[in-house]
Amino acid sequence: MHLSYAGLSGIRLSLDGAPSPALTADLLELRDRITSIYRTGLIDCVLGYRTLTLFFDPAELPRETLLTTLRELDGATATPQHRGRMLELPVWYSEESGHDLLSVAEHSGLTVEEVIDLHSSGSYNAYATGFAPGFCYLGDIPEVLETPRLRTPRRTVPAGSVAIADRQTAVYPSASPGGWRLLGLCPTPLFNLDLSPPGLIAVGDLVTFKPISREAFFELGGTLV
Amino acid sequence: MTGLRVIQVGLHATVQDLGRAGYLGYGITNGGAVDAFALRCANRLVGNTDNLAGLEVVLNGITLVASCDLQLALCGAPVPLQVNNEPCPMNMRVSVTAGSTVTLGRAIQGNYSYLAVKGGMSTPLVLGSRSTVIREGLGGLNGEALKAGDLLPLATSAQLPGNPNRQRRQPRQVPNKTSTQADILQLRFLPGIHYDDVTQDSREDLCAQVFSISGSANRMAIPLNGSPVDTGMTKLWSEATCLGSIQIPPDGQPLVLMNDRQTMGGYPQVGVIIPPDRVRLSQARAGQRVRLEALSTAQAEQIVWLHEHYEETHLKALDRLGCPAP
Repeated sequence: MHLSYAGLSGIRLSLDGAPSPALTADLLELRDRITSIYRTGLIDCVLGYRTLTLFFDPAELPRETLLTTLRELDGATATPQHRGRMLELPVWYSEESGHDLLSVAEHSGLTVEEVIDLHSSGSYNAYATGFAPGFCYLGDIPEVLETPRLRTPRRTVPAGSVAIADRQTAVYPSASPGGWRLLGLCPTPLFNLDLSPPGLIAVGDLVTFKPISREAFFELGGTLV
Repeated sequence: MTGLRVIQVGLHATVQDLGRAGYLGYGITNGGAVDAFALRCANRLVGNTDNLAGLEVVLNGITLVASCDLQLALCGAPVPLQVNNEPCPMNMRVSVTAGSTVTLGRAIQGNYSYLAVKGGMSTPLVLGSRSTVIREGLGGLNGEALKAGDLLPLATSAQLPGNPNRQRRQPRQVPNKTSTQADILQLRFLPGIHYDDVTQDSREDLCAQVFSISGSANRMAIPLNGSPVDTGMTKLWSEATCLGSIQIPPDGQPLVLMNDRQTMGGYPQVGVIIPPDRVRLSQARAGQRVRLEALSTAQAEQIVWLHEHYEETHLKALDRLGCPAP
């Protein structure tokens, strides 16, 4: 465990090793222990691929106190309780709903059907949330599907777009600019302010994608812009 | 509905309070007044609590019409303030009658001015805050910047008629913290996050040179132009960004991350600028020369503690003006 400052009211903790579901589980365990010890004073806990960044109110939780606790927790994560949920998201894969499906197939030397099969047969760890509200970085996709981002990002990626970049995959919760490669559309809303928490996918969840037809997509409430 | 009707917006104006807390882990950024102290001053002058929503007006002013009697105060970057074409002082409580036109002109210095109205703006609370984050479409009026024709709803207490006797002179003006173009603005930071991972040369490059503020600064980030800083680090695994982080993308031009930054980033962050210097930076204009200076934790704590103490003392003085006399 490495600890560093993230300003006077932030501490950033990083763990050694390549990102993996096990590393995410360790970070979640640390986060849960810390939040159960300090019910006040902690403002935000943000998980990254290898990091946990804690933002706190120094008037309520002195930094040295928090640092001491973190050092005591070091190594105490030998048996993390993985509590991620399983989430299955329906996806309408097609060239109509995923404008890069063909180019990804060409890049990987596979047929469109093989790309869909590969992408929808994996289960993906939710590593981190960010970029936009409810946007969750999922991985890892099979190496053969690894495709670089678009050279010029699109001005608008439609909400619900299922996309890949490098070894990652994600669903865009809302329309936004983006450079990831689009494979299809998911009709399930991923972000809703009326829900608590507002994001559907949480870090540590295991996400799978289930291919659905065009008709099923619209039946499930999907819209095509 | 009563409120403030927007007649014209100069450049950019949004509803802001002190921002959203507790949702960074869901990808929802802080938002909030860039110069939080200025908003707090304006709120205190009209007897509001610090976190009530006001208007953040950037650089080129705004014209509003009050549809009811109200009390307002304007703080932050100095701008000419007029009510029905009559000049009014900033940093004071001003009583305005229904139908009056309130005009903020172009900022004389600085960028961000704050208009508070007694009772605050009553746009909907979204995840505990009224702050507008345009990229996320959250808060404010439909998640957007203000435009001509908008009606800003005010809390009912805002519509109480003002008592002109309460309009007293402020003993001290809010000090103007915006430095002039000739100065080099010191941006003091607490090293951290990837500071020990970047090369020694890049740490020296960062602190030895004079940067200038880019013209593309906004509520997300303030880019600094200078000789490129080569951190020697390629793309990193995404992790949390901080308010005031000095982030160095591959082009070597540092970015200071601000209130509306994206919550995650994949570039090295070498430290976090202390809050008072971050606010000075935000109020400085394009071309302003700046220099980065690394502090020890003890130094940073001392400076920030003194600064917060000064702010609290100042706010208490404003309270005496904002509250009815005993």
